Amino acid sequence: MAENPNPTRMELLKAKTRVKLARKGHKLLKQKRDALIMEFFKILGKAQDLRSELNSQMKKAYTALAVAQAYQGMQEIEAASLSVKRVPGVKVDVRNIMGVKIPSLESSQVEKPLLSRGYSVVGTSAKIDEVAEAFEKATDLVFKLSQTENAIRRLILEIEKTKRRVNSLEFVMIPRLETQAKMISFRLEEMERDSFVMLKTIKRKLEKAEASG
Amino acid sequence: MDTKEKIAVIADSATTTGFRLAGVENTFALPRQEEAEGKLSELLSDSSYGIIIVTEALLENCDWRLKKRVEATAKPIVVPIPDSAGPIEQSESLAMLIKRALGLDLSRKK
Repeated sequence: MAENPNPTRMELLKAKTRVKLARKGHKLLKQKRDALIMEFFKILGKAQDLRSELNSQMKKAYTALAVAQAYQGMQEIEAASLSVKRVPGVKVDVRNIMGVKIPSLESSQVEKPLLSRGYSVVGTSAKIDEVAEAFEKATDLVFKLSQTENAIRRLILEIEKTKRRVNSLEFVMIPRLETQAKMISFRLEEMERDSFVMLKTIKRKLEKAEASG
Repeated sequence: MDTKEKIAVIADSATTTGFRLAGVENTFALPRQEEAEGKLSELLSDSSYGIIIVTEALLENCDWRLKKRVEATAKPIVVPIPDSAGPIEQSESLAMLIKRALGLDLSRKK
């Protein structure tokens, strides 16, 4: 984009189409931004509560672990942990919202009743059960949190990017293109007047020459 | 485990023991930062993992290139959790990001 384009009709047409294009892009981006913000507010509330919930649950879990360690020693806990039944795994799908890839998650409940954990309940102490329960709860929370928080993070970054684009179009690009188009049309009008006057002068001169000649 | 994706934990040994007790199979007790980073980057490119649970401290201290990669990938999901020392204030916390993007502080309303 040249700052001082030639004042021709071609350039004027080009500048006008550029303005139109920029306006269209601006409108579209604005819509994208609004859609993203709407999506964002939909999941915002969930994520904030979950994060603090997870923090407190992890704290509880670590406390339980420390207590169990003091009672049983690390080795016994490790031994129990080796025979725990495995969680069945998760299913992660990637959803696409306005070009933002957002993971969504399908998971089964991690928290299990006491007897189906897999290690011998008789052979271990209740302290270990407490640890297992606390960490199961924490894992459930992690699953829930993982999709919302991740999605929010991504949405925010995209919103910021889109907002910046919208603003740069609205306040920089479009005004600049408009002034350019205006400049060209002014120059063209000026040239028209110029040539009009020139023609008049020539005509007058010719008439004068004819009259005298 | 046909179409299901695996869950991984990369943390210190206490945390991994806890998660193993909850039934998470793939736990990596790597207290050293470099080893943990290497594992994380290895798991990021492994499509059989769905979620990677890491400690906040690991994610906070890791290389910026790896951090960027973590942010860019949608799958596997990387979830930071507080370690036994308790939650640390993330440098780019959600509230800060929100404030920057929307221009208003949502966390203070409550």
